[in-house]
Amino acid sequence: MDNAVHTSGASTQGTASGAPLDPDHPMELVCPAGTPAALQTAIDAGAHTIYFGFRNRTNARNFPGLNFNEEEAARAVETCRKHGVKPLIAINTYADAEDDAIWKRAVDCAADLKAGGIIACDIGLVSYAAKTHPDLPLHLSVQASASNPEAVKFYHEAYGVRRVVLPRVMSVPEIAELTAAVTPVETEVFVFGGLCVMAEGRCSLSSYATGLSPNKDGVCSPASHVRYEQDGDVMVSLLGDFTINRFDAGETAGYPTLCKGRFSSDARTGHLFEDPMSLDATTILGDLRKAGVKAVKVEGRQRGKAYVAQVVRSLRDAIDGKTDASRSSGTTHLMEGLGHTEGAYRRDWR
Amino acid sequence: MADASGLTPLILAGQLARPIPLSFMRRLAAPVFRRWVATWSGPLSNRLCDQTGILSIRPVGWPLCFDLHVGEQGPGSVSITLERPEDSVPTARVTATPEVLLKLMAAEDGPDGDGAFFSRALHIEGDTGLVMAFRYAIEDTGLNLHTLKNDLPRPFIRALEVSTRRLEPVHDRFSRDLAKMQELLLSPVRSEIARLNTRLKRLESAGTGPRRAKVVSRKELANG
Amino acid sequence: MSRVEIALGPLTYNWQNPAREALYSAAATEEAFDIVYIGETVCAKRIPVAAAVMADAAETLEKAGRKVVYSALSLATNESERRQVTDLCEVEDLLVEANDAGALRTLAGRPHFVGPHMNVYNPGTLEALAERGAVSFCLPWEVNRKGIEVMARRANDLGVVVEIEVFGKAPLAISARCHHARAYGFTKDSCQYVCDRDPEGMAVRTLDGQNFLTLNGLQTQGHAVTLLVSEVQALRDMGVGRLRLSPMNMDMNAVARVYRDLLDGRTDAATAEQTLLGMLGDREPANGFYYGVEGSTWAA
Repeated sequence: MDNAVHTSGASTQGTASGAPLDPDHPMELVCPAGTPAALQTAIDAGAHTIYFGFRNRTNARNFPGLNFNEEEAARAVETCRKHGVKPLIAINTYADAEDDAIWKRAVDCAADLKAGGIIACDIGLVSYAAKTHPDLPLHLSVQASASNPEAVKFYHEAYGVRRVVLPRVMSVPEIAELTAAVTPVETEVFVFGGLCVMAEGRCSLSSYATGLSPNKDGVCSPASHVRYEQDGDVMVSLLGDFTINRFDAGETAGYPTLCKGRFSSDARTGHLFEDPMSLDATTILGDLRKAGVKAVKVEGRQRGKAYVAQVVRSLRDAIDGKTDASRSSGTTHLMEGLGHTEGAYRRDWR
Repeated sequence: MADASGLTPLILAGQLARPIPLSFMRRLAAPVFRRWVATWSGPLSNRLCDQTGILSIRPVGWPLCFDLHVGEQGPGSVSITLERPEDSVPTARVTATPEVLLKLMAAEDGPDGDGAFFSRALHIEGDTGLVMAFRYAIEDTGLNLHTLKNDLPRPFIRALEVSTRRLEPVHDRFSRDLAKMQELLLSPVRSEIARLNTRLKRLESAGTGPRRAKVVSRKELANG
Repeated sequence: MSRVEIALGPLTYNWQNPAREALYSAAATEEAFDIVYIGETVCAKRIPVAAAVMADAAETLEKAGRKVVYSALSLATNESERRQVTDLCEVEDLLVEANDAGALRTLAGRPHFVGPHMNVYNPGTLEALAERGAVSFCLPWEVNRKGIEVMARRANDLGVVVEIEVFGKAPLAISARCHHARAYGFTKDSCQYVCDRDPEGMAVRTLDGQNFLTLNGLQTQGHAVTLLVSEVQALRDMGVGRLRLSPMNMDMNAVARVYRDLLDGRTDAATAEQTLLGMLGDREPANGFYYGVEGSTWAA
């Protein structure tokens, strides 16, 4: 077996080393918001920091009807400030070669609003931000896939990046080693939500099947190319011209994210890349803190208020020591695939 | 899709309503829809302005569906009509039992459609982008059963409240009994259907063979 | 117009040593190759096994007058992967192709190549990296013709080279987990080098039997072979300075000669394309990325 899989929220497999969480020095909880309503929900649920993006290709959740226009972004920054919450703006796609105007506009706008920082990945854009707005804090997006200390130092030395969001492919000891090696750059890691099994920002699987990709277009397996078809009792999910999965009657379904599909090979047929699991690292929050991680992050700007409310509250309670962090968060019903894993944080995931 | 094992009280109620003429129900719904559109189309249009199409919300077993017309009268415009499912030609379809749809709409935080979808209680067909945009729009505007019902006739509000809250335990018991009964009555038929399905699939796959990736002409792409 | 060069890209598959030796000793004799990339971009575990053969190959190639560039790993996370990258980048007199930002840091200030695993999507990034010493850029596969044109023009202004992959399976993703080993029931650590069983990777099909992807160790490639031939004249007009051919299990010298003949006007695009399609045999071609559509598409 490749990884520990919990199929019920109450499961308490002995994965945590038992490192305690110190309520006096809490880790920063970084939460997603896809709409102004979700932003308010995240504030109410106890987010320390909230990240959101503009309504275009400049962010990696460029979904129909989601995100903030400039006016909403301005109000969001103001709302955050009023509640003592730090607003971050995600500009985490790669600028178009022909026309990078909307990317530069997004950076300028974030600087004008005096956002708490931007989360970016494109070297050209990070370089532009550093030159044009030296006071705007730069966070390196997970989409830059900086997975070793040398890479983090490159972005720090060249562009003054202050924080790096680490790829979801590193184990806890690797995170600890990296964090120590890159001081004063802070590290932030994902602890809850969708799990990219490929190195982020290095994946054009979606582009191969649909022509649209996370890097260029801010979408992975985009809704515009998704179809669900009934084949008797079986539900077939397709992405472009390719069948991504078939679900028997009564089987839990999933969105046809390419790497979560079922495929066949000469060696094996099934989930060749990743089982349809979501990340829940609640049980190892203490280990992450001990590893020197400054902030923990929730994935899911595309998810609803119900998800934001429950996940953020549960993690905040765990960080504040109000609940036992060695138990998983009890939010399994909110997850795709209805099961969770600690992912690469446990080395045996590989 | 609406296989008998999932029969619910509201599906049965829908079946009972089948003889009521559509024109009558449309007349009944018209003033409510007018008020809904007047109140909500403005706020919803913010997140629907890039969308066009018809989103059909289909309570399983009901003789009618709710068709939301998006972008028909200009960007972001929204209107709603009652249709017979067999006559409606939507761009996207959301299908679930009336109970699931009501429960989704009743949630104060807005519908957690993801959960319902993952558990297969909710089916989405057609333009998934339109469905997603609509979902973000209703969540962001705070549209839910509580806010919608202000525009409903009183007796209907009562009926809804009863069905969403009080019917739940009754429904659970009822479905268990029904499932047992159906298992006894339908199991011979089911295995026959499964056998026919398998044979059909085998025939189909024998005919087509593996597909190839898309081939287009360079001319087609010349101006792309 | 300046001469367009041809490069043999780094071997992405885990070929056994005799096959590696054959590939590079053949390439050494082939005048059509201006540059040969050697080095491992996919998995650090393959490096020690092939080290002796690759060192000999580099020597043979250089003696034969081929310019040798050392490609670095595209994902370096654990200790041994990181060491492979730093060790390579610290040798001052080697010409290295960086495939991750860690390598860029070590190479800064001296001439180096930027590989297709670096996300160079726009002239801003190209300029930023050229400022730090990059002299050649192989662009990511999913960049379309408009992007190639804009960046190639900018590169010419800056006096650096843009290189485009015109032949080979596009690497689409890399993971810290080995899906190739996983398919056989192993993990990355216990992989038993199963990736050496498939000289062009292991086919991944959809559940209804459609060819889709290729597993190659930590890397996932497309099923179809990227093939740009009729597009070569346009690439040259845009100012692209080099074409890259990614090694497949076939006569790569013959492939290179078709491209050289096409570039030198000894054959026309239609004939060259027919010749290469013939050499591909059962393999499906694709050029969708170039046209900005699904990468799996073949525009004929």
